[in-house]
Amino acid sequence: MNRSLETAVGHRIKTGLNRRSFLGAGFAGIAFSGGWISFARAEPGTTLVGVLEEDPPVMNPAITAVVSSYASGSPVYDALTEIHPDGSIHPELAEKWEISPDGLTYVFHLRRGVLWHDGAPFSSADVKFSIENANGKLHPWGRGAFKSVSSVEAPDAATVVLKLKQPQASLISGTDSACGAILPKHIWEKETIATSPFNHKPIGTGPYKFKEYVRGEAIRYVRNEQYYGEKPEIDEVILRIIPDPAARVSAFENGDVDMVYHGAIPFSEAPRLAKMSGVTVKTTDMRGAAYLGIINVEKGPCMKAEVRQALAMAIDRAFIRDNVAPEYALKMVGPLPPASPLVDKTIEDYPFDPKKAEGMLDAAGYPKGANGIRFEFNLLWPNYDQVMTKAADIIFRNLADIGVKVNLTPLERAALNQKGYIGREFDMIMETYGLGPDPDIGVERLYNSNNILTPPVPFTNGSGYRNPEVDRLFDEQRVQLSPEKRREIYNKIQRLIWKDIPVLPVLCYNAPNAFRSSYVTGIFNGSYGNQEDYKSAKLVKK
Amino acid sequence: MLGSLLKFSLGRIVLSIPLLLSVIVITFLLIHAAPGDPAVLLAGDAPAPEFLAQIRYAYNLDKPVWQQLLIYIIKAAQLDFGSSIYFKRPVIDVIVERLPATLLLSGTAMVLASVLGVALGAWAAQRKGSGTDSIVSGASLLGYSIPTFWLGQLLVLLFAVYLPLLPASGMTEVRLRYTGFAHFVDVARHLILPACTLAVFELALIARFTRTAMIDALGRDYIVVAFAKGGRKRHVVWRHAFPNAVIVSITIIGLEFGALLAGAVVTETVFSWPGIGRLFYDAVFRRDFTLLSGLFIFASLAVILVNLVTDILCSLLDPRIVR
Repeated sequence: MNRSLETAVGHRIKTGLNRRSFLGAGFAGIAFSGGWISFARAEPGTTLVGVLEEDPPVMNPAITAVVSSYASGSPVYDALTEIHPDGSIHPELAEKWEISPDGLTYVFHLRRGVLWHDGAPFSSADVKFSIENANGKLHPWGRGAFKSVSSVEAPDAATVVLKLKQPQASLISGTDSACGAILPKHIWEKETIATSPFNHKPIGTGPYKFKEYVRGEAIRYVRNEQYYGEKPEIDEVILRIIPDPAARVSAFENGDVDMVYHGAIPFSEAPRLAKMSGVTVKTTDMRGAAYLGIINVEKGPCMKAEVRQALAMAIDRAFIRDNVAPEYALKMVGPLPPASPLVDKTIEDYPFDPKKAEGMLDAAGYPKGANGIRFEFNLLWPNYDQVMTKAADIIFRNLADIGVKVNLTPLERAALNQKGYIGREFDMIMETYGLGPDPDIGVERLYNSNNILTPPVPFTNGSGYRNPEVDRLFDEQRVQLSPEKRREIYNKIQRLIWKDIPVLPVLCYNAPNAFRSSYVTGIFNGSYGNQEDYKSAKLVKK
Repeated sequence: MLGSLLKFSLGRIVLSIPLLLSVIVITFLLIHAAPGDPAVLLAGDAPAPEFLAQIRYAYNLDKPVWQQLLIYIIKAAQLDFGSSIYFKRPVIDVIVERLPATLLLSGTAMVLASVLGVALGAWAAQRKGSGTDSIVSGASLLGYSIPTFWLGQLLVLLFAVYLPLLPASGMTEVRLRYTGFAHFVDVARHLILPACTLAVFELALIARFTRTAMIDALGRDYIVVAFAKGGRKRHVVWRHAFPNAVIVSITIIGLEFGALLAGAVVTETVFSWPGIGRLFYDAVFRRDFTLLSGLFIFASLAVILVNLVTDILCSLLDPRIVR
């Protein structure tokens, strides 16, 4: 883009240097030197530059669902399977697998001849070690996915057998990169996994090898020449660390960065980037991602279901969708995201009806006081989230119309965790939640009373919602082998939860990923842009 | 002269020990008073209890705050500042790793701001009340008031996006790994925008203080005497007035330099400059107690050291200060 300008100025500097212009040229030389000093470097090879929002707390997707951990660990690690956005399951480290008719035994036949990046051979012992110590024990989603596993056996180097206490249809959804990354046993068996330094120098079996991490600057990966699949085309993948959202967008716009996954681009900027020439913005459904309003059902007026229903009728969610993120927002009715195959599409939404809401609040024992106020309502959300900041403003007005005074409380992450989820000083917390890969993993955690933890932990059942019937149905569906039966029970669950409405689904969304399609293709085709491994990335031939 | 200077310096260093100790205690308590648990932040969404337990155990977070503080002070006395909870590496290493970037950025900005600021201020003072003086004063008021983050983003839009002359962020071109002179030029290109952004505020500040000090100096009796003795204007201004005025500038520069070393927090964040300032910013939001304490100690040391150097410089210019 700026090549011609650089060359022109470089030419002038090289030819027209005299003493008078020396100072000016020196300055200009520094400014424009990108072009003319290029002869000084060695042949650089092909590169792909992406971006991270922060120095990742760990580069280990086997133990955490933090976005930067996924993004930095995914090029390095493989899982047993790869699940495509259409839900189809494909081999990765497992070549094929069989599930016994009673649903109690899963046999995975592993790919042979796979090597770890340090040259050690990959075997079933690694899979057993990972599921037992990382995926099934430490990963927030993996704990749900591998809940029913009673033992992991490795009868020979290329076979892994999972024995289950009871059938669990959702288990297979935990075997891909979302929570099933496989770690090398020979590296990790001597380590305390959560705090090990290997969390920042990952060794995996994936298409890219970790090469270097310069804190605050970038993480570098080089192509794994011994990768078992088709050789990745691009020599080097670099993920730059740019914490400021505006700086990320600028770096993408001026070509310093080739790709930005969803979450690293503000929703408000994505439509503008999509209009740039040579840029493609591709959305992914993430198998369900939504902004949810977690309502505290343990105290105050919101203890009553009628009050929560009234709030749902008073908040104009269609207006929020149309105004805060019109390009990417989706309507969500009930606890399941529209992307889930189990969603019950016949559930009716609460109508936007402030009049009726007022009547319900009167009937529930919350009439307007002398000052026109029924009660106060503490609304918390993460202060860095632009979408929720706008939504909160709309909710403030909507609820003011029915006499509910909203105390707007944007908080930074640490304070939100502490005051909200742990300190319980809230009526509603709004923020983004991953609802996949299967409702057993992403959705049940919000509603099953066995996930009300002491001390409380963020992103569990934060509402404090207890419905024995719902708990029972969750257990009942988990062991169903027949998809129809499972759907039937899930339909009941959805209706019960929707009636109680302990969580208000503000909006669901498709997440935009941006990349310079004039330079690279074959990325962001998976369900999650932040779990990209770049093995199919191809440079556009000029 | 030299003896008294040495005594003066030693005295300042001894005095700094209780100061550092109180910095440790106050910051430690302050950090812990803020709501938030670093283990929860590190572990992310819905962490497994085992995960939290492993982290809390490793960093003594399972102990009461006063015990944590005591452990910290005892270890700090042995120059062991612990490991960063977030980076899982010794705090000293983490800080030292980021130091060169900050020194480069702050140093460049400070040199730029000091030279230009003092020159502009001294120049404007001699033309007090004139049009040029008003322009300098107005411009420095503007420079002083512009929010740094806004100026930084504006410069990025102008010189990196609309006119793609300079890189938008970072310290090096990651795609091409330059070495030798090319690397130097590469870093210099990346340095221009953040250094200018950072320099504007300091430049304005220094120019304003220098102008005031210079006007004050020019109005003193000894200047009148110098003129009365028939001194040439240039000689009187630069040999009599300027050394007295510049002491104020040096004091301000010293104070600001300490602050800059502690972190050009906003500038480094806007430009993704991998220095101490961004480390500070990140450490606060991650509640990385050990790293934050280490950074506060480092910042206090930097301020103490720079102030010492400033005092020595001033005393060399004006021997009355040591006495």
